[in-house]
Amino acid sequence: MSDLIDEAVLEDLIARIAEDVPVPARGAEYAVDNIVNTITPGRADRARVVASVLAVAAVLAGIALAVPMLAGSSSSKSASTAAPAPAPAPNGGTAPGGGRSGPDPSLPVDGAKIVKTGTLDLQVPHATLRLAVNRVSGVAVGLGGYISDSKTNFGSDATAQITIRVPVAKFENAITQLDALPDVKVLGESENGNDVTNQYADLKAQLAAATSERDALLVVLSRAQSIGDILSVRDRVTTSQAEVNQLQGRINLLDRQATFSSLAVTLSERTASGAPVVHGRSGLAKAWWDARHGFTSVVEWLLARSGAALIIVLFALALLFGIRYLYPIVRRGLV
Amino acid sequence: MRARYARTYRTAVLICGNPADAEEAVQDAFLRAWRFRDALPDDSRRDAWLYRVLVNACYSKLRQEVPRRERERVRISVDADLRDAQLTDAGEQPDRAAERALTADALAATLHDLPDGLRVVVILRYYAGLSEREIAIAIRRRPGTVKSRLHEARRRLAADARLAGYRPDTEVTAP
Repeated sequence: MSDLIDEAVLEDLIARIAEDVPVPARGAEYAVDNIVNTITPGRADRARVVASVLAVAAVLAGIALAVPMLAGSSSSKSASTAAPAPAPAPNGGTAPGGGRSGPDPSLPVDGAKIVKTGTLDLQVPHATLRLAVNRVSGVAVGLGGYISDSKTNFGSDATAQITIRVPVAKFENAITQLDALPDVKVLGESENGNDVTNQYADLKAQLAAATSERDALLVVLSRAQSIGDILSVRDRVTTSQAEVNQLQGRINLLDRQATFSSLAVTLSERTASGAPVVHGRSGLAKAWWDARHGFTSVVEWLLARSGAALIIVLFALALLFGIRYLYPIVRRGLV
Repeated sequence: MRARYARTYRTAVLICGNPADAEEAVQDAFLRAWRFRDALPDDSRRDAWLYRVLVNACYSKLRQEVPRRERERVRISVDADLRDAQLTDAGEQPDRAAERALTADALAATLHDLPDGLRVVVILRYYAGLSEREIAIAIRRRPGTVKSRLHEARRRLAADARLAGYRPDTEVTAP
């Protein structure tokens, strides 16, 4: 005799027990109602959803703000090692003339017009001038700027003069990033912050006055009766219009200068004797060195050109990965 | 959902041994299944997944209850009046109906004397009709564990004196 109960017997037993279990007549309806009540969010639920979305947005905004701020703070330290940082003016106020005693660019001044310029003298390893020029271009573009002028000499005395324009708020970042380029030696550095707020205000006032004068002359011109009066007033209108155009041009120039700061970068190569690192290598080692530096330069180029977009994309990919693979695992673990 | 409700509810009653807990467990299970419907597999594992949700809900109810020794097992005590009405409606003789009721209570008591881990696999296998592999998914154990538990449950039931001599077409007497 088997010591196990027969499967058919067991199945019949349980079926008979189950048959005697009365099923609630409206149990299924209650279950459906329960689901409907749960998936129909009330006002409080919607408020929680909105609050969650706002919280996530705030976190993302904080990250977006913190990254450039952290980069800026680190850049100041790097710049101070190469050259003393400019002394900040009290309250970021105006400073007469230019020079390194100008206002600290890192201090925001409401409505202030600051024209920033700077020079940077960098020395790069032998035979890496072209790479360095590309890196400088990458830094400018990565910060939302552009190359306004570039002259490169690949002769025996390889040098390059590049003038980049970057948004004034990222001027310090530009200097820091250029200082931090690999294998670059900073030979000299200068920054110039010129507060043109008063000058800008004066120009605006002059423009308003000149415009009013021109408009008045136009009224007079429209009422002139004789040929002589017309010619006389017309000459004055022309002169006044020229003055308006000149003032407007100077204002526009200040606007551009205050929007994009100018940084003149001079690159020079070390002599071959000063670059034993490269020439002392064997063929295979040199190839490895070239490959390594080529890879890093490409990565730097990508990072410089992508800016915050790359960070956002990486964050989004991580989020998608979590939703696609980790969340189902966690979810299944919950049930 | 409505089509599944009766069998799901009865499965929950068999596991929980308590209609009230079973109904709550089924509600929880359906709600969880709806919430996580995107994670439902598309193949035959769907039933196993749904029963897994149900079993977990039942276990939650069992854990929430007072200790086992103090727990009042209803033993599927069907309302006598309701059952008599059902049987009478079916044209069954009263004495025959009473005998069936005693038999059902005896069988339920035997089943519920099994430990939870054994009872669950027996119910899923012989009432819900899941395969051993599906039961393994449902209770998150290895198929070998399911097999051994089924074996142990069948051994214990065979050794139970209350089921001695029982055959599908016969009746047992209440102890």
